[in-house]
Amino acid sequence: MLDKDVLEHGPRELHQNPLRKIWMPRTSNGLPQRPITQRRVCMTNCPTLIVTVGLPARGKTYISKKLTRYLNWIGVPTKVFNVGQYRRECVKIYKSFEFFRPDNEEGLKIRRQCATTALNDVREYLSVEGGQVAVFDATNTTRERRATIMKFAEQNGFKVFFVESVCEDPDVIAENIVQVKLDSPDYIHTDTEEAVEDFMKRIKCYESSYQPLDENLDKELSYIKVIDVGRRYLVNRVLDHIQSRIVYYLMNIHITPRSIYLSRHGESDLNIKGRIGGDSGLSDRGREYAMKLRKYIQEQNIKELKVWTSQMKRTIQTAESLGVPYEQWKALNEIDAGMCEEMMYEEIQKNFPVEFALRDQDKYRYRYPKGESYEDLVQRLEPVIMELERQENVLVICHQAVMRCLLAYFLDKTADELPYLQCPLHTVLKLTPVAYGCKVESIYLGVDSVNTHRNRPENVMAQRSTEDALQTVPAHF
Amino acid sequence: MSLIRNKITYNAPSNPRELTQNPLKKIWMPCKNGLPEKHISQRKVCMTNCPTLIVTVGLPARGKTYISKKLTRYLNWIGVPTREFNVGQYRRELVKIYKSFEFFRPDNEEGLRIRRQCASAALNDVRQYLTSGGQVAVFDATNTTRERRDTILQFADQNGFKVFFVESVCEDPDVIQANIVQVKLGSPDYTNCNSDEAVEDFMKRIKCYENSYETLDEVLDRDLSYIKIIDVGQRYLVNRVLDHIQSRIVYYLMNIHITPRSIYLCRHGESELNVKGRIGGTLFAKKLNQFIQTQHISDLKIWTSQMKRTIQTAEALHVPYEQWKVLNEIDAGVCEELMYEEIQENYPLEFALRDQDKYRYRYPKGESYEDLVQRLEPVIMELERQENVLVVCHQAVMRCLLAYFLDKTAEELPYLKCPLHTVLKLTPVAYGCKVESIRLNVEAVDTHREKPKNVDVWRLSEDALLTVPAHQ
Repeated sequence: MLDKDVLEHGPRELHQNPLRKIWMPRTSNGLPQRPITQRRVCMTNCPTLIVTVGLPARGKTYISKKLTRYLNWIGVPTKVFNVGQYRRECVKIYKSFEFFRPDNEEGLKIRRQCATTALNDVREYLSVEGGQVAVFDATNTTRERRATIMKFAEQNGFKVFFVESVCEDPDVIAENIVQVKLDSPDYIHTDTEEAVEDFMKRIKCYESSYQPLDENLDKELSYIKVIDVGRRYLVNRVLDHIQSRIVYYLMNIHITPRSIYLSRHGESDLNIKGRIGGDSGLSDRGREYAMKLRKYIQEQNIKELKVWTSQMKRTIQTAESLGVPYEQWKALNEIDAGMCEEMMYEEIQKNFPVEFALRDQDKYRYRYPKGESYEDLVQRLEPVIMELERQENVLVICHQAVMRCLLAYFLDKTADELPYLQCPLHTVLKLTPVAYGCKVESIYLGVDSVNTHRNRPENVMAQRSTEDALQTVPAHF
Repeated sequence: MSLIRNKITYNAPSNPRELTQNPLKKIWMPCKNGLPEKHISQRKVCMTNCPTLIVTVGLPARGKTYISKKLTRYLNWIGVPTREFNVGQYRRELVKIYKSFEFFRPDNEEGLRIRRQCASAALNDVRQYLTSGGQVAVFDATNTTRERRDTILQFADQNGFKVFFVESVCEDPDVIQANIVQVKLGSPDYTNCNSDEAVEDFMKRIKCYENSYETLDEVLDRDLSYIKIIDVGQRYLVNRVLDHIQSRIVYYLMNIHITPRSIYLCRHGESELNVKGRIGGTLFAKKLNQFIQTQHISDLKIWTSQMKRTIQTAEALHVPYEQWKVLNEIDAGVCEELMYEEIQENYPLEFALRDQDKYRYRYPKGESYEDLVQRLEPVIMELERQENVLVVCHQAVMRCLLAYFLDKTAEELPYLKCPLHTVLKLTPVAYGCKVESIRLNVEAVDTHREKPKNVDVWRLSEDALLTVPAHQ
């Protein structure tokens, strides 16, 4: 596919985008071209529709929300469309399981209507709003319903990938109901026993018409069947990169209760001086924090705690005080500030005022000259997240920017919020998965430190005054 | 070196240990009396505490050896010491001359005896390997009966090895035929047969196994850890993945394919920095474009790094390309943009350390080849998924990618020849990779520096700079 314009005018000139430091060709009239594809996650040419399949209380919504959170975090715009939500908006008050009876004509009509409305919103999201993946979260237990969805996808040029959850373990189902169904808007005015009873009857309404994805009848479809909460998987016809990543992710998550502890290293010598980056050691207060951390960990009495650090001295020193084995991950190293390494914000403003302003304009995508961006950090932390999903109790001792990225994943924060998340020194964040999300407890261990959090100043223009630029720089020695 | 973690009891010192930075790898390690203590585990691939035995299962000509060799190559490349043990090899060593399929007849007592013996000999070697530094052993044989697999499970249990089965199931006659043509006809077993005879004999050989074949069963084998690959990857059944390494193995196996294709590796065209002898080609780019046209490649994908020189090279091809940050050249840290002469003058110790162990040596505030491999793993994974791809990258990066495809060791990797203005065309064939080197007839400076004889830290400048390639 030859570019005639280039043939006539010679090779295109390259210009480095000042924010992201990406080299892009300029057209003959001097304007930057549309950015050449920058590899993040290999986009297929067409959007993907993920369709859940399964009886109620099989974890479809759990999987939908978690998968969506993961895909968004790695940079794939994704959204969940929960048909139950649509139903609740349509039928203001939930009366009982009778609504779901297979012979309830009115119920069926409403449910079909809700599915259609949801699919319309899916089309809007994927074709107009720039979405890349839509997760259609509903039971979709009949072949007929799935055929309807596939037709819809075909008409709109979407790829379809089914995620079926099959489980017959009564304990798992009971636990599921307790965790997420009892608090559902459907059961607000019902006591626990009644709610459980009603929900069990609701499940029964689906059972007789349930047609699981079949090895033969559905052999042309792309899908993963998750059996007994991940004991076993059936994977059929994975078509592209994004489906492969989805399968890998789903095969690594689990629901065993556990907690993830995130902490920064103790205060460092460079922290005290207000300098960023570098590889300095702990200050006296930092060492004190390390001892307090050890005490906290011991008191928590955590079963088989794994401890991870970066390969920078300050996190390792912190871990050393714990007196337990730890693993060093290079991927957990702090963001590389390139030419600004070990500078104070005042020095960055003095030497690179344009860079400093660009960073405030788009802190997530801004890449330091010869350094990294938050966006780069997320890409390098993806294997850490994947392994955190596999593990159980883990303490991660890392750095401010790194911790913000990890926290954003667990708390489903956007790219715009991420670089401004509060991750102060000497504070442990304990994350515990609960229902569809993550409970977070912040434990300050009582050791003073400098504040390293710099808020976005009001004036982010390149020509702002030094005063305006340094308005939000935290105090330092 | 295996990365087995030590179990240390919960015994916090009141004075935390001092840290010292290992001069080669720039890793901070605790030290006592100025000497480094036992090496704290460094995350590469999360090691389980016990070694893993991968056991293939399947009729002949189902790709077991192909999978075994490929998986072994991948695991070694990412730093997991792995070796395959092909029972057929053991049989060929014992029974010098292969006569016919009759050897494999289920009623051939002598044959059965020999085959059992070979399996045992192989398992002994497995035990030897896994207890002396090996992390993963791939036991490549048909293992088609539950009885045989029970024997192996017992062996693993006795020795504290985890077992992961990889079964390949395929009934597509075309695939099996192609398999036989690609790898069986060239086998030592059929050296003295013509094609037709060989194919006929091999088909009968397969028949010998069919009656007693007990595939991994959903119910009977539900407590085992395995992946069943059906019809060359159309479908997978994955059961009880126990740990990180098994999860990585499953992900890898699910991404590979056997569709014929070629991978083209080249560096950017010569850059100004190359010419001046500093570490950091329009004519080449044009020639590359011409070359690509002559190859008539269907659906070629082009990947570059995010460094200007690879992008400039790709621009000359006038087709879309994707930029990957992870394809950026190795970060030389404080040595960025220096000439070798300058590195020797300013950092003679670093320069010597690099020559002592070029694979593991990390530049101060920079990277090592070992780091490079870790960051390139997603590129390799995506290359496995893709078909025809041209990767325009850099010397150290290209060495890492090449080492993966050509199964080079960590010692060989940093010295692989990847000259400027040369395209390496890699085409999978049989169990490995054919490599064609196409020099695009454009003069370029040589950037390859061989390991000098003297790698001592107190060597003379001239000894250090002995192998530096000429430059302006």
